[in-house]
Amino acid sequence: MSYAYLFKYIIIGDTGVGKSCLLLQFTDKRFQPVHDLTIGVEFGARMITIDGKQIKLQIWDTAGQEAFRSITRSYYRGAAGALLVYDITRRDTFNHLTTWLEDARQHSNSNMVIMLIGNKSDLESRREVKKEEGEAFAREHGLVFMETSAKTAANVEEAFINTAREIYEKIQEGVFDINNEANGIKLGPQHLPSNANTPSGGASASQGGSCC
Amino acid sequence: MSNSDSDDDEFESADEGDESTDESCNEEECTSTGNISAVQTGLSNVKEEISKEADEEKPIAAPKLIGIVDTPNNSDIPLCLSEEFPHNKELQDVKATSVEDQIVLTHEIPQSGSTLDKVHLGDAQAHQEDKKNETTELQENVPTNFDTDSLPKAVVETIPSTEEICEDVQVPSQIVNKTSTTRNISNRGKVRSKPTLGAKKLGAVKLSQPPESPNPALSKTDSKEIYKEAITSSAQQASTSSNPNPSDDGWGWFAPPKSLMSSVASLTNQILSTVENGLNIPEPEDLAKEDMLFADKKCPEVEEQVPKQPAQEEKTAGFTQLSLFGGVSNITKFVENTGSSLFSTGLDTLELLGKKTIDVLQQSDPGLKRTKAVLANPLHGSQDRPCLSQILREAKEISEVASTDSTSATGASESVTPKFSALFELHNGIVHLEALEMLSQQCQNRVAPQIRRLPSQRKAIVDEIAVLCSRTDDTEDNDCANSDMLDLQALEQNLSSCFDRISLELSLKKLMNAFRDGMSDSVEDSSSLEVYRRALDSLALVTSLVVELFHKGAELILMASKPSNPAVGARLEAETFQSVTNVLAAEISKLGSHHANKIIWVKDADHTNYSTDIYYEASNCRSYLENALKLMIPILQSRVF
Repeated sequence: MSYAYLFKYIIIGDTGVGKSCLLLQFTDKRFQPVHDLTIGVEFGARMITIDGKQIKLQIWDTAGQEAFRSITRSYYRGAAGALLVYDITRRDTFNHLTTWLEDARQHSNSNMVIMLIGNKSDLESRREVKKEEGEAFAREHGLVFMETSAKTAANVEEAFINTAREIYEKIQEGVFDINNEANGIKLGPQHLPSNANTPSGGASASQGGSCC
Repeated sequence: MSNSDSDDDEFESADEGDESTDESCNEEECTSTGNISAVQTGLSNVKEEISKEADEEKPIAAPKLIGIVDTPNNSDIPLCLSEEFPHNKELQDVKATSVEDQIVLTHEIPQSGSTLDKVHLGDAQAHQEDKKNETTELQENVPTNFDTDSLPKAVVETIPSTEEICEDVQVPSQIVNKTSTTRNISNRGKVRSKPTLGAKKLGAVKLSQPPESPNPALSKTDSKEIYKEAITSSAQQASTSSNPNPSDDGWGWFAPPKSLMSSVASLTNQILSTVENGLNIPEPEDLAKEDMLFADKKCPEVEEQVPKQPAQEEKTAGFTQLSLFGGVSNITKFVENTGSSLFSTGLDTLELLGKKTIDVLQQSDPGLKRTKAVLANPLHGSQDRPCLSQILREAKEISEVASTDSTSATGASESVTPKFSALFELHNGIVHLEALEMLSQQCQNRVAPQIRRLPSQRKAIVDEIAVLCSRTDDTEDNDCANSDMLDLQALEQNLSSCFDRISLELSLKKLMNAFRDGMSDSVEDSSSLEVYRRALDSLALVTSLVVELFHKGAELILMASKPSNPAVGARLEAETFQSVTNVLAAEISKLGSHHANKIIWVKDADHTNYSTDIYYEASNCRSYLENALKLMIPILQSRVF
């Protein structure tokens, strides 16, 4: 249960693009073809390790329906990462990306890492949006891009973990102020000073050999 | 006695000069007395030789010295000892032997001085043999004198405060003074490593004993006293209480040089401050060295000590000769050597004090970063700089708190004691509450400016909603509260009808399942801790799901179309959520009682505490629900407009 950081993610995108399925695949490693409509927001969490550090990803899976937009917008605040999802078999979901992106940029902090995801890559025969288009959109708006399949689990792990890695790098670079929880990053119990009680091995022990 | 034997004896006595301070610093009466008796037994050998050597080398000087030595010691030491260590029988030995020891010392020193080179060369072997001799001798003494449990206590009782230690350390004040001289010189960056070396050697000598020693008590002494005990809450007490012993023993041992030195240097009475200064090792480099020492001493010293020791001894001897006795020409080389070897032991004593100090500081300040920062620049801002004793006191307080924490923690759990908050987080209760709060905040921002423009009639309703949602009744006379047993069917019906009234389609399935699971799990094969864990988990799950229900309710209310009569509709919603809160809080309380009762049936020692905790957490659940209800206020108020 102990972790060094907690990152808040939001998953946004049109209804039916597979946001909840992506989350379920990532947290439970299973696929559920028929999913209830998400009401407001649902939550998922998983622990990952980056650079030897335990990081808890707390994922807010928002409702894609237009009716919930005003509510889901209020959940953007304080997210460190966002997965912006479209369905490669439905061009309209790709066309709405700009609105989603504007929404996300407007209601969250500017440092939020956004990953563009073209989901349902297993349905190659029904593809309406070329991979190149997604790449171009991502390049244009400074996003990371990836095509995934919640059904086959292709690239699902990578999508979540690469986003986390990017956030982690931003922390290392000092872009994120980890003490400001509005950035969607919380320090976990591993960072609490109680940890200092552990035996002072580490650096001092390594010096020991040379000391007389 | 053969020739080689006498060589060994010479070496032993020379070595024991170090040894005694060393071990006495070990805050071990047993070790010191053991040592003393070891010396005692060794005495007979030395005494035999005394006459020979006195004849050979310094026929006149030796008796003189004895005279000098004897007088102050007979009067001073026993007094001091009896005052400060009234409980310790062992000290009787010290008293009894002190004079003898001193005689030995004065006589042995020419040998140690002259054989110093020999000692360095044949060190490894001779040293080991030495240890064997000693430990076998110690073996006889230690078990009788040493009570593992009572000793530390006794030590602590004897010297409970830092102030006293300071008084105790007064005794070798001159040595302290001289040591500060040493420090000053080292400050100029020359002999920096030497004190560390000394301390190192001390640790090494100490450590070298257990592996060779067949005596378990000895190794216990080392490990328990130095390493383990430093971690306990009495770390500082133990460490500070270590001081009187060495100083006391040192008193016995140092007495000859004291009297000698009093003829060389003037007597000083600034003892307390001197000791404070002596303890206040301010140089970061020093601290860093000690730091490394501390980390180091756990293992590799046994191998290292043998080759290191000679170099150190040589250095110390040369150094003290230079710095302390350089100006005194009329004292013979014999005396110089005496002084130097005793000084090196004095230095070692102080090194050990310093080391102990670092040990204590390490407890609360692992990298010594804070301490270094605080003690840096000893020359500047000495006014506002906290003294080391203050830091030590703080360190002790911290370690005491930590140890009580850890003992309470270990007492409660051999595995992990479950925490309600962690389980609540695990079941997404926290994040639902967080999301609800975000919605609430957003509504608040929207509603607040409009309230002022509202006609008074509607404003009254807005206020009424706030009141309704801020107040819940613990003893609600609602439908379910009559029975002590949870009636899940009635609960579900009650809740559904509540939500139907305000046209909210909320799924109660998960919540009902959670209640059902909580009521039905069997406890027959579980420990009380397991039952407790499951009770908390059940409470946390149900509470999380109720919070989720409120969150979903809030979302749906925000999305729902406006009621035909906003004011009435909003108030009805508020009343509904208030009554739902009361109903569910009552049910959770019943669920808690159910778990608490279950735990009593588990035949285990801890059940009373656990059941109390369960009652407490169950009542705590109510406050989670009340918080959630309060967060509903702006959401429900927004319906009025």
